[in-house]
Amino acid sequence: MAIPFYNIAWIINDFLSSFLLFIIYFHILPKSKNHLNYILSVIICICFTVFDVFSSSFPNLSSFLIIIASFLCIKSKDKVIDKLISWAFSLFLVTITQGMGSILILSILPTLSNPKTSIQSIILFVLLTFLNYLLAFTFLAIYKITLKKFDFSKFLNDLLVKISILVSLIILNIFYLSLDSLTKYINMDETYLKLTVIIIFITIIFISTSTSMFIYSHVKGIRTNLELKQESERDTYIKELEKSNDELRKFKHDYKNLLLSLSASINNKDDKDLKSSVEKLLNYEQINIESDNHLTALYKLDDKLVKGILISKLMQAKSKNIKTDFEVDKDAQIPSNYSVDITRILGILLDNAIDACLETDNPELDFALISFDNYLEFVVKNNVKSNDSINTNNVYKSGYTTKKNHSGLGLASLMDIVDSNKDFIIQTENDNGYYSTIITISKGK
Amino acid sequence: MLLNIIICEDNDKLRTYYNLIIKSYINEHPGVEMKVSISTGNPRDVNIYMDNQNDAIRFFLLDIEFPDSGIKGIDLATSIRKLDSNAKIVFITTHEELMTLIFDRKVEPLDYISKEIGLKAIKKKLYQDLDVAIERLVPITERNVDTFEFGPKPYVIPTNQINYFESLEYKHSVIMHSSKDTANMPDTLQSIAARLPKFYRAHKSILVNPANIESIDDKRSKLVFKDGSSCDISRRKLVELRKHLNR
Repeated sequence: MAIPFYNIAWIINDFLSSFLLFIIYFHILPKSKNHLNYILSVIICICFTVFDVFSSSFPNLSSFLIIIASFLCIKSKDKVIDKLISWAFSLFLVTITQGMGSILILSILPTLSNPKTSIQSIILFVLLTFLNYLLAFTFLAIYKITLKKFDFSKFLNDLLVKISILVSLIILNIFYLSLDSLTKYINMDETYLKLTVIIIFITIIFISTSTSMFIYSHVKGIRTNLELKQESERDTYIKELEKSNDELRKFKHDYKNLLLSLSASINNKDDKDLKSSVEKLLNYEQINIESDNHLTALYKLDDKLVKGILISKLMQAKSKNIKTDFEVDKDAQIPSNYSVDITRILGILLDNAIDACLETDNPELDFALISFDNYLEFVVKNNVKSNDSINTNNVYKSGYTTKKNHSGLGLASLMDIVDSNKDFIIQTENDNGYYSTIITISKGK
Repeated sequence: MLLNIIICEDNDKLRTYYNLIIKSYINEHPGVEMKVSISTGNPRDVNIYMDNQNDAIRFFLLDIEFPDSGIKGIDLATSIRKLDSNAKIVFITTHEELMTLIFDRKVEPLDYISKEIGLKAIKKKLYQDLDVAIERLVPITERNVDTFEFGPKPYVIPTNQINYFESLEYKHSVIMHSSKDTANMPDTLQSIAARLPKFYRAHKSILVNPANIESIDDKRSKLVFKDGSSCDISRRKLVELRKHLNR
């Protein structure tokens, strides 16, 4: 089959627009950047360009196939849903920019709408490709800037939000492609093409408003859940206070009884009884009352999130009979902008420490929050099984774990948090059967 | 270098005894310049001494509780540490419950000596602590050792303890692996390499300390360090590294 010369320009345009798809995808998911994926993407592009040349009757079918093929071939460590969203988003962006590009060209240079000479067609396709890339990169830049400016990433981490975004993207894609093929199939003129684009923009506006409203209501739900959790933590705190109050009352009661019996013994002048009563009284301090002086500072901590996680983990450790010592410096102030990050970090570290020390015979867990003039220090220290050789070289790498049936993601996500904050320094030491992690946070200058 | 020894203990008998121990230590070590600058039962005297003497090298022997004075040993130690980051502080106390993490990190005492262990054992421990103090007479930053420091404290580590720095993909911070610990800091390998000219960029993501390399494991393409830890390195870079080491 002889291919006319201007068709080559069209083929190159086709190839470049499918390649744009991959460029956008690699930008959204940087973890997928590697040599193998680059080579694979070029191969896929070539295959589908060939496919397009030989079956030009269904121009949009290949767009779907290319997405499916690339989803199966391009491997990265991201979650499936993230990949799906990124592919749908890339496809949508490419198709939209293509549509916008063609409209722009047709409205500015109407003579090019039906290229008769090869030069005309070459100009048309070069312009088309150029506009396509330019628009795509502009949108991509806008997307990245908005993502940086408004911290959406926290909301985007929710599964339901992700699913709703994916569904709306898929609907938009199918809608656009089917409308597009319909206009091409019945061979209507450009006014209809313009109409299509207008309809599509209206749909985009509708779908995005409804999705964002849905996301907004969902985020509200998440917040209520958080408040409920805080309330239950407050409950455990109150219960703990009641318990220690009870112990104190019991002590008072027993103390009076003992004194009473002591005075009785004195009256009887019975030396043996007297001695044993006195001994009982003397030994009493060892029985129940442990004065948690440091804990008052913990309860006085004004950051609710950090206090919540510390109290709940302290309760958890106590309920598992771990010997705990939680100290909080009395003038410690948590910078409110780091409150969420610190809470997440402490949750991960304390969970790990509790798990690790439970493997020893006499589990011990110490925590300290220390305030210095220009920085804060969090120390989590626990004892570890002596023959446990934790390879501190690898603890922060994603997937490294010493626990069975664990993904090893805790410390890796901790690393992500530390990494995204310039004021955080994290240090780990493994010394004399004790494993300690020290987090230093500079106070804002 | 003169090592000033400061004793603060409210029990007269014990103070005289500590004085004797230290005097005999001084006599046994004629090569080192030492003197007992103050021996007092009143912590205020120590405060006054601190205000007057600025750049002396000091060794403190403190009790924790001073019932007759409003000043607590802990507050005294914290204020000493604030004024003098190189001071060696040894606590001699009956209050072992005061050995808390907060206190430990804030004051960084050289040692705790419990009074209950008996006078002989106290003497032995005191001797050991003085040995350490003399060994560290010159602070780490002024010794003829290359150091690397980071963080707000700042945390100072001799470079000969560092095995390698590593940057993970898509991260903005660098992880330091030393024979003592692992630490993460917001920095780039490039700027660290500029600060540590003796280190070698063995890999895009690794900056090694050639002085600490024990061997190169060709089979598993690993670098093995003197303390037994190891790190991965690409096979291709091994050849270049070997050339660099043999130079």
